[in-house]
Amino acid sequence: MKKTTIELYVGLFVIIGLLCSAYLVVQLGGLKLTNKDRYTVLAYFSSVSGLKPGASVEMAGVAVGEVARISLDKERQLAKLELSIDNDYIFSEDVIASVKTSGIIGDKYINLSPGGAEFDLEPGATIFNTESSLDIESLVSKYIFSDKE
Amino acid sequence: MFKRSVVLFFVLLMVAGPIIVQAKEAPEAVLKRCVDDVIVILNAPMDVADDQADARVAERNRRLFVKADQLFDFRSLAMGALGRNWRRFSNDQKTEFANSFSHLIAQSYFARMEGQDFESVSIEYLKTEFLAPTRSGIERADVPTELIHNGVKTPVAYRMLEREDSWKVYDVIIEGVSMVSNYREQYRNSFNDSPEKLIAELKEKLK
Repeated sequence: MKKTTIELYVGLFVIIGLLCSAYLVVQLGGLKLTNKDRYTVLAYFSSVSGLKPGASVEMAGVAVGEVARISLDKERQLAKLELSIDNDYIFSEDVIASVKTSGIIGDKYINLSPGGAEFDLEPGATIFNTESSLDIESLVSKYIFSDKE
Repeated sequence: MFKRSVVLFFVLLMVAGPIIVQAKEAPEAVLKRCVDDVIVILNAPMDVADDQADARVAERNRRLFVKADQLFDFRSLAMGALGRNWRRFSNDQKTEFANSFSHLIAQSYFARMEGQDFESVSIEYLKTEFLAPTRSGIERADVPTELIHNGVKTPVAYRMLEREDSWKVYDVIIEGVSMVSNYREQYRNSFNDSPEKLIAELKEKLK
């Protein structure tokens, strides 16, 4: 009788332990079980070199969402980004999305610069003002090899 | 009777539709026409030693500004530059700001043009990218171009929108850097300043 009680307690602790580690895995691993409180907007760039899925989307340095998917638009041959934005945030349609680098050699992220248009960006809409990542190397080589006196 | 008028309306629409669409000038054509005119004005010979040189420069700049006014939608440009601040402005203030802002941009470009030579400028127009109209119903198009000056090839993209049956430029992207975005970042810092103060500052710069 006593042995059964002890075994019952042990089992209970094991289950609690498993639940805790499951919670940790979900929380620390950034696994998303539900995607309810977010909406998606699209943005096209001529280059998103260095940007990875899961990179943060920031406005004024505050994270407002993340890059959900990066793919190549086959017809226009542009980088197509799906940005997943928290439902709390609503932006005007002339928001500027630019690929920025945190620090000099840090990770790439998407910076949103708020606009003033009276229309808001709807879920599924496309951001039409985008700035691609600057390719410093090609800029440097262009001005080194240009024949300027 | 009603049915017939509906049918008639659709027939009219089908006939008239393509004519209306054809009559509209493509964004690239509008851009090319204005840019060519600007280059002609810039390349007009000017005798600097003349005692009326200043008056001539002023006259040239006035003509350039008229051209720029035809090509650019300065209200959209000002809205883009002010970003969120735009919403704090009253309608009159918006007009006043857009007006002064257009002169400020023009002034800074005229200053850069002094003493430059535009003989060797050539522009290559690349394929226009049309964007689906947004919720505001405004159609937009990106016209990428390549400007070759003194042997340096610079990518310059014009962002255009449809305004009153004509295409107008609302942003210029040079070497991947947007003009509107650049001004917007500067104006973001003055979120505390009142619209009156921003307009006054702008007018101060124009003097």
